Amino acid sequence: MSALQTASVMNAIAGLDRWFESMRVDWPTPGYGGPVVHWWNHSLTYRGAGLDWRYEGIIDGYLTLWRATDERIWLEKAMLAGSDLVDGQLANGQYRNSAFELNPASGGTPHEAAADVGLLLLARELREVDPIAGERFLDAARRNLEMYWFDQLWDPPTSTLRDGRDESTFVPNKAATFIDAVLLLSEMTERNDLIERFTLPTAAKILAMQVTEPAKPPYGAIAQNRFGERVIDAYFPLYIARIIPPILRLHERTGDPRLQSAALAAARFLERIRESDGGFPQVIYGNGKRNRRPRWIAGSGDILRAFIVANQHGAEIDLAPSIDWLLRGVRPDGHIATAEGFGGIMPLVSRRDRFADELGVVGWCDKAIRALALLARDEPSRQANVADSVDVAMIGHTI
Amino acid sequence: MRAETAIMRDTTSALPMEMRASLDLLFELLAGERGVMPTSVIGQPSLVTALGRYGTIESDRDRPTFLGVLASEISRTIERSLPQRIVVLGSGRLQRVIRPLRRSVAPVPRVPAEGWWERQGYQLVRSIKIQGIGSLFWSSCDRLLRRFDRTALADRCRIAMLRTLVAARWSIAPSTLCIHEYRRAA
Repeated sequence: MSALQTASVMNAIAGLDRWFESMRVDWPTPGYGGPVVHWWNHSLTYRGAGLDWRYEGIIDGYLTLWRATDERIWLEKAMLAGSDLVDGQLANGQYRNSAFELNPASGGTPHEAAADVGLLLLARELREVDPIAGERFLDAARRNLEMYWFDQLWDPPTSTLRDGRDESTFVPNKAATFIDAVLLLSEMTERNDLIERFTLPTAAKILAMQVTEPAKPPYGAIAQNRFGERVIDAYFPLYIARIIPPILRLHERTGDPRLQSAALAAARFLERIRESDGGFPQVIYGNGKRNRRPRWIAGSGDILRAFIVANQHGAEIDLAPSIDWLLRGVRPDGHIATAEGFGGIMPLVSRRDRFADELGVVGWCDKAIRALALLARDEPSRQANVADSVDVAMIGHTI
Repeated sequence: MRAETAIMRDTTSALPMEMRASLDLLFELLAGERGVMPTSVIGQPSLVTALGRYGTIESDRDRPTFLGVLASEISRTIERSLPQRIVVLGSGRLQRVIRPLRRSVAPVPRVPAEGWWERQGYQLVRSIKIQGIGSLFWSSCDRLLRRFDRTALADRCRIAMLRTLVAARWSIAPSTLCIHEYRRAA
């Protein structure tokens, strides 16, 4: 990163942290709230706490900052977020209002698995520092995975993660989030049987939906979903990116080279379709048609993170355009704009959606802080810079 | 192709999209500070539970809300407590037309006619219609295009369908669901 980019990254992290604090609510349970805009649907009426995938990025982002700086405030923020999930867990193991754009509702996918990832990362971090608190977070994640994902969504006869109790839908990016959570649970509980039983069959089904013919334009891409055997020929960069880190982690755990090749092919597909300004289309259909409306900004943090992880496996993807794209969304109050192009999805009809571009959504900005924190950690001169950013972030906080 | 977030069948999001939109609008209409809804909610248990997930319902017999109930139920409440304000969610004229075509149409009774309300001593002060002709048009385009594998266009039509769920305000415009607010005439 250039010096200017480094400074911008640090400022963006500090701004996001400040903004996250302003998005805390206390109804119906304590947590991060606010409206949600999404390609499919918005949740503008319900603005209470949402215990969904926003917690994955918030907890992981804060933990990365804690490790980079040794400043305990970051760990405390991650623990506060973890407590939101524990306090909002229902008797059936699900989290209250975990459905993001479909809130208020529980049982959202991949959101509950993503929340589990956050809790398990936190529990792992606390093993040495505060094992009693760590056990509490581990218990909550384990309860959710066992009561909901293993008992209800997992179909033993076909070894498939379903997208609902009575559905034959398989969605690779959701399955990848599940793999991530199971890998962490397996590590924390020393249960290797979970790898064999859940993650390997799931990864095989994800890879089966990858385009493997080099001559085809979407070579390396992974289809969005399938209903039964019917694969939907649509490729969403954001969701492909969310598959890459869990598959690479599974490769690290098992040593299976096919997993690494598949993940790197997916990353190279994303690199190929990246546009000159660093943004990505919303979706590319099988016929090559691009839908650029809207192009995610804050959410593209997950694509940047996938590139960072892929580079650790030798991909050598230039991060600079993606960093620039993300940083252009930084707004004065600290949030990162959600997207560009909501108003143009459908001529005339979507005009009223123009506001959605600028809206700050916690469940998109968490992806930004998660990726930016990795950049801060990896920067050689990080000590001074991150320390500076911490000072900035403290302004306005009650500690 | 469906929305990214999948929900188990027994939660709010498993309700048909137009019913969810209706609950959104009801919450906007009823809620005050911190998501508190000062109202007594009477109606189909699944709808009462779903509305309760938006915030806190603080019982207020002077402002009942009826979710898909028959006129006789409304009448009994009026006789008991003569409320000042009543909010009703019921089906509109279009529901009868589309019910045979769709599995997911929520079976809620129609809102009693204006003459009935006048006889009870109430006047209409607000009417919101959900899922009118426009939204149904986009929904039809979505289904048709998907059948012919025109996914890109179908996706856009689906989004247009969602964005037009709140129907036109013209009094004669038909819709599948409607929310009416009545106040007691002086």
